[in-house]
Amino acid sequence: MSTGVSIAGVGEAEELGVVPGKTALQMHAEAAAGALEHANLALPDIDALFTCGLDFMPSLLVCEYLGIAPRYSSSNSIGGSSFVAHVHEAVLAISAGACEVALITHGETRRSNRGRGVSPRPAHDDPWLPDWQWERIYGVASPPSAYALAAARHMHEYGTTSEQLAEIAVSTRHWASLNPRALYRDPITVEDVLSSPWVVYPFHQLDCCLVTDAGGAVVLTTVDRARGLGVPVVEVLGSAVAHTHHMISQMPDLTETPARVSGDAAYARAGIRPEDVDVAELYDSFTYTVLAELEDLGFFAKGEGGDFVTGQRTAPGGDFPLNTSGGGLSYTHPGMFGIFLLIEAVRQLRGDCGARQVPDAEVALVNGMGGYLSSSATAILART
Amino acid sequence: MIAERIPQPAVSPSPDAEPFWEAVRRGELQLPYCRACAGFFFYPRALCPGCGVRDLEWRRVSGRARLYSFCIHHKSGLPGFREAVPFVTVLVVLEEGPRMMSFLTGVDADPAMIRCEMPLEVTFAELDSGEVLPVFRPAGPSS
Repeated sequence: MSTGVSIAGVGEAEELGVVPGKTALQMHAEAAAGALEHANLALPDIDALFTCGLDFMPSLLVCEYLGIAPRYSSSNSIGGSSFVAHVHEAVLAISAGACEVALITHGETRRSNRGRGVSPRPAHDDPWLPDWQWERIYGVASPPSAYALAAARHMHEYGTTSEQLAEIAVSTRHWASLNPRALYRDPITVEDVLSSPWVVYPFHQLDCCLVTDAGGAVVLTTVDRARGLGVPVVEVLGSAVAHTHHMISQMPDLTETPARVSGDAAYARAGIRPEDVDVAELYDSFTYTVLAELEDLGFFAKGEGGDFVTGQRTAPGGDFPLNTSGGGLSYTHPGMFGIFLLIEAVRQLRGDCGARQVPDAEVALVNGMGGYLSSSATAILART
Repeated sequence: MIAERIPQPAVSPSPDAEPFWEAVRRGELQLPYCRACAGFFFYPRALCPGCGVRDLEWRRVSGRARLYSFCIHHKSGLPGFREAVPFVTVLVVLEEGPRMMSFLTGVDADPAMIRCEMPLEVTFAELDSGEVLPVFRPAGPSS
């Protein structure tokens, strides 16, 4: 099956990593230009824009900077999964005739903003907000603590070990070693992960994603229009979004993420099963995030994740290509990673990946995870 | 009150949670109770998140709980927390059903000493600011 919508092009900002000399909006614009070139399209073709993560009215800000006034725009913001959710929204909008060519952009300079004393996002500083009143008072004010609570419960229920979580960091770094744009490319071992400093038990430093400066963009249009552009056609076979909570204390079951719901819906729309996926790009804010997504997306049963990732099965040369860019753990992660999952999946399907190319990749699954395991967006893509 | 040094957060009661914090200052744990569902919920809000009905009252709970999950903070960027690392943050499930976040006290910040499902009981910690914070400790033999 297909939605009738395709991703026609993808692009990254010119520089990724530690880029103190560029603004977040420059990152948006560079990535947008790259994605349009990749799609054989131009800025005036854009009639919808999706973005978030910047200021109070992100789509207005980015549209003005790009010099466009599209007939549709959205700033839907559900955490790091947002940009995959934007694909779902763009498919709906294009299918409804609300637009024909949709641009999704992301740019953040969280790494270098530290040096400027600038908060990259709207301030979230009302002490009456539930997370301030019920979680921040107990030290949980950022993702590492929240994901650590979920990981510790998974370890209790299923016997998952720190060594098994470390396997994910090791295989992801191996993929990053094949990506010239990855921030960290030197190989690491399970022992390196376990001997890196504690951040918050059960996470060591190397269980946690990077904080970088980066930008990315994706262009979507109808499959019919894409076929006339002279570029490989990557169709969105199915997509779905789900969310269950905002604060980690309100998560219905700490060991089951909303990827269970978004994944099932996306598979049903795409008409495929987990075993049909050739390459998986799963949000890796933490090693544990990947383990939970693998289970909830049905690649194996709940609780079997630890055994599955043991022995570097997800590394280059293994039988399950996973996070082939080097992921948020080793390639880049400017605070939200969803757009980069899409970029890598499309490049794999178009055969653009050089040393890290997965042979004969025809079907890719992308899963974004946002907030405190709060929101999940799944997109299943195929080269057709 | 416990003597152990814990982090010093700023407590900031919202209007819809004021009865919770008033009770805590008296050394009681009170939660919102939905008469329509005949059950407790947490956190406090303007309607029952289980059924949407607003037929609510405040009731005292036992303070007995089990540890649902935990994490051990080895660093923190929060004011009042940096000096207190390592400290243990827990999610507890109260005997009456609702789940809440808290600190674990009376146990070393060592994963070998902490296990999910261990029985806990509420206690009340007075902060330097004079505010009182509900925290949990291993349940005593009498409870």
